[in-house]
Amino acid sequence: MQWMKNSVFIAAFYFMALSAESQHALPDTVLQLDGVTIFSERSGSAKGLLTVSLDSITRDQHPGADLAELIQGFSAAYVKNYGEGTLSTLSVRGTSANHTGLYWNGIKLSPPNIGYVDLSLIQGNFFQDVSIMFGGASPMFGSNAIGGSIQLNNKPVFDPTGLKGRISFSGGSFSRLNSAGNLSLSKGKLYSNTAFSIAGSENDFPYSDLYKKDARMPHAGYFKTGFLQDIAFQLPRNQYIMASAWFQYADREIPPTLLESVSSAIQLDRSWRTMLTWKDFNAKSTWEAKAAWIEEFTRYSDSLSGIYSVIRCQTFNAVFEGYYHLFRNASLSGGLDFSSEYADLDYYSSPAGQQKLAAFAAWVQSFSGSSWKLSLNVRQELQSGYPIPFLYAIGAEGRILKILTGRASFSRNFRAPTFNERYWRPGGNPALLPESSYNAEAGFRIIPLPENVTTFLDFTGFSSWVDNWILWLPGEGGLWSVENAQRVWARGFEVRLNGTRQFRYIKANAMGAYTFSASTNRKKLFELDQSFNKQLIYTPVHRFAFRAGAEWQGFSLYLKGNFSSRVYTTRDNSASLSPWFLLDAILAKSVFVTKRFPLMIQLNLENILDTEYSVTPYRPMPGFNVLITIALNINEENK
Amino acid sequence: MRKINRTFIIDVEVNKSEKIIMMKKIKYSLLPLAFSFVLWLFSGCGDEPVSPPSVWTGNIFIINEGPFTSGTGTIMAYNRTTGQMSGDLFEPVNGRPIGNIVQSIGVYRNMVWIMVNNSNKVEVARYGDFSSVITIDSLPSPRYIAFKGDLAYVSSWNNKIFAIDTRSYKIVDEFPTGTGPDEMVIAGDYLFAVNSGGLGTTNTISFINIKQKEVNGEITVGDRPCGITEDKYGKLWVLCTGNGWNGWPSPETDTPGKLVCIDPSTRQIIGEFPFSDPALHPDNLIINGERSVLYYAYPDGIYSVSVDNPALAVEPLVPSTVMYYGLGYDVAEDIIYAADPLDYAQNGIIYRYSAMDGLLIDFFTAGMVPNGFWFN
Repeated sequence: MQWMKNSVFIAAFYFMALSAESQHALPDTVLQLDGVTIFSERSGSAKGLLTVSLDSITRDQHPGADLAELIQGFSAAYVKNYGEGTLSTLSVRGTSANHTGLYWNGIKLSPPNIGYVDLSLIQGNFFQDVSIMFGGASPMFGSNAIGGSIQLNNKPVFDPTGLKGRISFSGGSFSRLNSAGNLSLSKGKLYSNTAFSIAGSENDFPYSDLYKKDARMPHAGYFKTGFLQDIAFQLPRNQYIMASAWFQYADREIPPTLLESVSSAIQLDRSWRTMLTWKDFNAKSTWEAKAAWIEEFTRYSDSLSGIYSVIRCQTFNAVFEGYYHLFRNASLSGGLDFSSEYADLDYYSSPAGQQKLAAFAAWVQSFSGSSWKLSLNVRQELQSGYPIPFLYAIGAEGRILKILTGRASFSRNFRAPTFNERYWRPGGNPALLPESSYNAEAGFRIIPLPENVTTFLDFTGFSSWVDNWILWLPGEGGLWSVENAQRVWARGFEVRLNGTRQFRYIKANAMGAYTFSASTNRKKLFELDQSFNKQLIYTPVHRFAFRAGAEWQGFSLYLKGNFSSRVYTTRDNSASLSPWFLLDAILAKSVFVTKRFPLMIQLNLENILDTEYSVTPYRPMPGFNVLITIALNINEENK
Repeated sequence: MRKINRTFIIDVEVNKSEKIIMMKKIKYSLLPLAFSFVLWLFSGCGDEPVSPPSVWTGNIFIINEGPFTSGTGTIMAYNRTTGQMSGDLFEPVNGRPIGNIVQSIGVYRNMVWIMVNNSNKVEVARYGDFSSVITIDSLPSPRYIAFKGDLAYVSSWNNKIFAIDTRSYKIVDEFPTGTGPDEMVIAGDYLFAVNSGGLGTTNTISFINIKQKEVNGEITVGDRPCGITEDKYGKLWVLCTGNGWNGWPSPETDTPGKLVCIDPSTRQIIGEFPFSDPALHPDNLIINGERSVLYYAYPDGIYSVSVDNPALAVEPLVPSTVMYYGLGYDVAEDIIYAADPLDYAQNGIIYRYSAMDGLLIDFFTAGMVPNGFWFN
């Protein structure tokens, strides 16, 4: 691409070199953190839900990766995109893209115009914790969290740990280059966390065109960069304040499909997200106030089609919440959440705006002599445009046997109509109702070795009923509009296996995640509707992901597999995309150049079976490709 | 694509399909053999226009434009005698899909010319078996085709009409037009093309003297002319849809549709029949076999207009809650074929109505987003 000049990467290297001046070393071992990791009281107030966190193996194996790539590495959630760095959306438990909420330290990130975030524009290395909470979470977090919610969390650590972090540089096939890093510094009452990412690719991977001739993907390059900065000050009496700023920029060419000869479409995305946090934490109580300002800009242009579109969105969000340990076995938490949203598009008759106020509370009850905990979460949102249902969740989790734990949850959730759905001209429908969902799930976890909680078998069965599902439909007389048209029943089960074992010098590790999700339309859209009782589009029934490997004296070798069953691309299930299986291999070696600066060299061999596949119709995905990474680690133990 | 700019509508995801309800699929695996035989029979027919070979007698081609950007269009054959419906005729023979947004087709000299709008190409295939002859891919946004002599005239939303030699398949000429030339009629030495405005608006038709290869000018008709046909008297009828979109009333910018009659010899307007409601827009002009009755789609059904006693009817011939996306007239049985793409995300439905009384005869499932017909 014209704008992806060497100078950009020279600058990145220069930054790396400067950073490396003050680096400290890190051990070469990796720590598996799969399981429930609570970064916020609000997430922890909901019992009975499964949360899976980005583990350090996945994190290390995909330096500089965006969320789309990372999520496929540690879960069986389905990512829909059309290649590296392209618009990526998520389907969790058979729901669609805007049924997964995305939250940054508890603040909703989805812009009001479309209701979902492009996961390719979220960098995994910017956050200490990346977790997927499966199932309905609207009673805790509000709109959209029907299939699941993704939590991105950072919190300050006021330990005299000095500098720690990781900086990587990668280069690979199709002129792919990226550099990413994160450095945190704790000194006295000051904590600083800096993360950056810069990536670009010509993305001109080879493929077979319609005539079975070899070709290279044209007009598919991208350039992305961003940074995140947290600065926190410790205050007296267990308080701190933290200021955060997160910038993200992407300039992407939109490639043609196999059916188009050329494409001239280009999309530019730019976002600023800032947050101010105050927190007071004690043994019996925690109080937290946050204010966030988010500004998003998108420009889509296509000279061939004569399209030039600019989208501007702004969101102000203020949250005050508290957690109080009431009695010996009970805790109460709650808060208020105010947001003001604004969006300006050429396709609205005038800029759209709305204010929302939500009140939420939770009760968690535990029992003496028992590991069981019960929770009740409630939430009511107020918004003048449409009625929002009273939301609630009841959950339970605890130990059944020494090696067996159980959990269950039932909740009511919702998705508010987006500005596009309400105000798009022509066709937007201001009278839309929110989508409403009831979610139920139950699961158990077998932990055969109580001393090793990272070895387990986890099973969850789930069922959710989503009513007033919003669709664009042509109505009487060809009148296109947005309607609360569909009723969807999404049900299925997930199985998750995790195991680690030490054989003298070799540490073996295996992870497998399988999801069965039948997600069907249960309401006829019109008399001759053939989508009735059919699987929703772009929601595979079977998903399976695994990773297995071993580490020995600084060497590590892992194999990763990813399978998706057929996905339907028409509502009557008459057209589909073939199932696919991808196999990757990751070979890494830690090299202690100095004790202060351990170096890791890694080779990612991706799609080693050279599988030809598509995730969206007529958009081929890359075949076999490689990525070589050099990473420097800095850690407090080598201070 | 033709009616609705849905480029930025989020969550509308539509795609190709091939499932047929109501009718059994025919096994087209044997068709290539049969078609080869037919081709051999007709291989010595020379360059003059000939009657279509008998292999498709009794069949109607259903044109399914396919979902915008994310899938391919298809062409299927419906046998009016047996009621059987084929799958896609193109991809099984050629091992590749036709392309994105099959806008229209034309059949001429044993060749099927397929306008593949969003793929910016014209596919030429043998009429007998749909095996590809050539792909003309240097032609942006083709819409419709008309033939005269050795030339094919293709309207392009590049605001041009291209002349293609039907023997060499080379573009030999091009004529500038107004914005978004669409349907065409050749009357005598003149080619008349409606300027639809593309995704914008305009109100003219262009006329070109194809004998002298000259662009002669434009005739102002009504806003966004969308269809043109020639009646039994040689008069041209132009249907203008009006500014605006059905279902999205915009009092500030909507204008009513209009039916306009033109004398092609003088290029003068000799009759105008404006619609009354600026929020409702007609489309899909067709004419019967005797070229005496016009039909068009309206949001509340299909209307008819006699060319002998022209007046816009108050009541539809075929009342319907569907604004049909494509109409066709089967001369052999005097049946109106009407295409309903349903939600544009599953296979559409073809309704068959008697042209005499407008009564529903039957209906069957077609492919993704059916938009037109070719009657063999």
